[in-house]
Amino acid sequence: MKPTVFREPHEPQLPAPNNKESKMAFLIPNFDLAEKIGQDKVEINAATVDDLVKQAESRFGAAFTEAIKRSTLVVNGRAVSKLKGGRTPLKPADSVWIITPSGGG
Amino acid sequence: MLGGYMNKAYDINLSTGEIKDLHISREDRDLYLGGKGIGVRLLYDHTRPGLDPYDEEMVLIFSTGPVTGTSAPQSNRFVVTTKSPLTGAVVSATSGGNFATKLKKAGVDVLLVRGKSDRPVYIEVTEKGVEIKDATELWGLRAAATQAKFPKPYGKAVIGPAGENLVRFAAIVSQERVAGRGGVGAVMGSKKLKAIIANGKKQIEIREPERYKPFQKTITKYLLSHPMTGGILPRLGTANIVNTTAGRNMIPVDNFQRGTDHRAVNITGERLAAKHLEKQVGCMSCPINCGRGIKLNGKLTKGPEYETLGLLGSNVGNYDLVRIFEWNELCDDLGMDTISMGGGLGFATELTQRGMLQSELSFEDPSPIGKLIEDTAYRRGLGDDLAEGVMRMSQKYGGKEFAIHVKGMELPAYDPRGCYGQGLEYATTNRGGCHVQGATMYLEAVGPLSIDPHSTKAKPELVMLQQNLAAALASSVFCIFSSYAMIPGPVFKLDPQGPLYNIITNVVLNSGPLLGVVLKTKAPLQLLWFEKFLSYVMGKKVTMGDFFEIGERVFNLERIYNIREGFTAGDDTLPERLLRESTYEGIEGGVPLHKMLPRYYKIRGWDKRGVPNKKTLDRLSIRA
Repeated sequence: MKPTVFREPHEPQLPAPNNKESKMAFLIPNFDLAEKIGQDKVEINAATVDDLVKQAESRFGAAFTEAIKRSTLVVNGRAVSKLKGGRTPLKPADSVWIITPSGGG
Repeated sequence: MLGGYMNKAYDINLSTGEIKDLHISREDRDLYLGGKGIGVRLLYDHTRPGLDPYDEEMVLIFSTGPVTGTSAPQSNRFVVTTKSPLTGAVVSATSGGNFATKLKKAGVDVLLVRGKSDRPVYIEVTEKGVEIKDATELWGLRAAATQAKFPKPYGKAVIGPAGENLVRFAAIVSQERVAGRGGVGAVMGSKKLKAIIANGKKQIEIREPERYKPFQKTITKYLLSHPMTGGILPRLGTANIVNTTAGRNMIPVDNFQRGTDHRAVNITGERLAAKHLEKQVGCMSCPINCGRGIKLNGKLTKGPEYETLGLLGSNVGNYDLVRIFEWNELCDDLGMDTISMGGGLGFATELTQRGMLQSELSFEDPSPIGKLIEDTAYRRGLGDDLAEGVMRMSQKYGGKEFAIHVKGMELPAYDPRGCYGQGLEYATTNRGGCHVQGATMYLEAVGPLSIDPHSTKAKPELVMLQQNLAAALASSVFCIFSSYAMIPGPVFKLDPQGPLYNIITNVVLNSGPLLGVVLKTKAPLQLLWFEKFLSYVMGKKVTMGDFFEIGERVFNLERIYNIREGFTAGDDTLPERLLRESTYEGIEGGVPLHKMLPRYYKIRGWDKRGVPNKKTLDRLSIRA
C-alpha cells in the first residue's frame, strides 16, 4: 500500500513564546476580538487587571468592551474572581486571557 | 413487555460459527436498562476472572438502549463493551453514526460476539437474522474503504489496519464517528472480525406515543434554543474548548509539561469555524450537529474534536490546524484513538528530549508524526512501541513519572492540575483516564459556572454525581452532550465577575454534605427529560431517582469487575507529574488527590480499600 503523502505545513511553525523577556503583561484576546483588532497578543503596561481593562478599552473601544461582557478574565490560568478581582496585580510577562463558557468532550 | 426493546439478542461464536439467542432477563433490563449497563452485566457474567482480552473466550458486546432508534434527541448511539487490552480493565466505548439505529431496526438489541474466526469475517444483521460472512477481501482495508464496500443503507461498525494489527488503542469506526477508547477495535481484530453491518425497517414500539410525541418536540426545541447545545456546539463544535483550556492553563502542552501556550490561538474552534468549516455534521436524529465538516485535499472530511486538537496539537508541539486535520483523518481511517495516539507521541517526544529514546521527534518540529501514526497502525519501528501505549512504553524506556495515563489509559486534554475534581474523576473512572464518564471539568472550569477548580470542597460529591449520571446516560443510551443543557440558559448570561455568579458558585462549593444526602436519596420526581423519555418509550415510570440509581449500579458493577480482575485502590491515582509538579503561580504541587479520595470512597459506600461494601451492593441489587 502506498504510504500517505503529507503536505507541507499550512503556516510556518512559530517558535515557543519567550515571555520572560517582556517588561509588560500580555492580553490574549479571543478570536473574534483578535480578528477585529488585528492582533492575537497585545503587550500592555498595566499594574492591575483594572488598569489593563481601562487601557484596552481606551485602545480598542467597543470591540474590547463587547468581548469582555460576560467573559471570565484569567491571569496566568486563574480567574480574577479567585484572585483579587480587578485589583489583581500584574507583573511583566503575565498573561491575561478572555474566556467564555464552553463545553463538549 | 416493555416498549423500546426489540427483545432479541444474539450470542455469536466465531470459533464454531454457532449463532444462538441470548437471553437477557427482565430483571436485568430493569436493573441495567441497556447500552453500557447491559454490556457490563454480560461481560461480568460471560467471562471468567483473569481472562486475556485477546483470548478466544473473551466477549465483545455491541448494545443499544430502549431509546435507541426512536426520535428522542441524541439517542442514536451504540456501546461496545469488553475487557481492554490497553488497561486490563472493563471498557465501554460509545459511538454515534447510524449503526445503532440500523441494528435496532434490524430487530436486535444486543450482539455478544465470542470466539475467534480462523479467517477474516464480517457479521451481517438483518430482519431475517444474523449471518457470518467471509471478509478476506476486506482485510487490510482502511476504515473508509471498508465501509464503502457495503451497501449504503446499512449501518456499519468496522475496524481498520490498527485493529487487525492489535494496536492496543485500536478503535471501531461507524460512518465518521468512532468508539475510540480502550482498544475495543483490537479485541474485534483479535477475533478476525472486520465489520458488523446491519439494516432493517422494523418499528420500535413507543408505549405512550401521545405523551412521547409532544415531549420530543418540546425537548428538541429546548436543546436548539439552549446556549450550549443550540449555540456553542453547533457553531464551533467541541473545538470551542481550546480557548478556555489554554486560558486556564489546562491544555496539555509538550506532554503535560505546561498548561498553556499562546500559540494555541492558532488551533481554536473559532479559527477552525472561520477559516475551514464547510458544514456542521450530526449523528442520526441529533439536532445539535456538533461535528465539523472541513475540506482537506479538496474533499469534505471530518474535522477534529477538542481532544484531537489538544493531544495531536499542543501536546506534541503542533499548532498547525491543517496538520491536525490530516493526522485526525489518518487516525480515523487507520482506526485508532486520537487521544491515546497523541498521548503516546507526547510521551515519546519527551523521552527523546531527555535522551531516553532515539527518535526524530521533537516538540520544536513535530513533522515526523504523520509517518509515525502510520507506523503505529502497522507496528513498524518505533510505531510498534507506540502501539503498546504509554504505560508499556514507560515500562520499557523508563519515564514513569511523566507517563501520562491512569490505569494504562492515556489522559484526555484536560490537565487536572487546573480542575481538581476532574483529577479525582480520572483516578476513579473504571475504564481509566477518561473524561466522558463524568465530565466534572464542565462544572469546574469549562462550562458557564466555574466551581473553584482549585478547591477540593464538594468535589467528591460532584464527581460521584457526574459519574452516576454519565453511566445512566450510557445505559439508556443518550449522548453525554445532552446533559450540558441541564444547566439552564440564563446561567450563561451571568457576569462571571459579578456577585450573583459568586454566590451561586460558593453555594455549590459548600454544599458537599447536602449533595452527599441528595446522592443517597432516591428522588421520586421526574425533573429531567431523560427519565421522561424512558418512561414514555418503555411504558414504565422511571423517576430521576431510578435513573441515577441505575447509573450508580452500573458504576459499582464495573468497579466489582475491575477488582475481580486484580485492580486495587493503588490504581486510583494520577501520574507523578500531575501529583507533584505545579503549573500555577502561588499553588504548590499538583492535584491533592489524597484530600479527596477517602471522602469519595466513603460517599460511594466503599471501604478504605475502595471495595464496595455489602450494604451498597445489597442496596443496589448487584449480584456478583
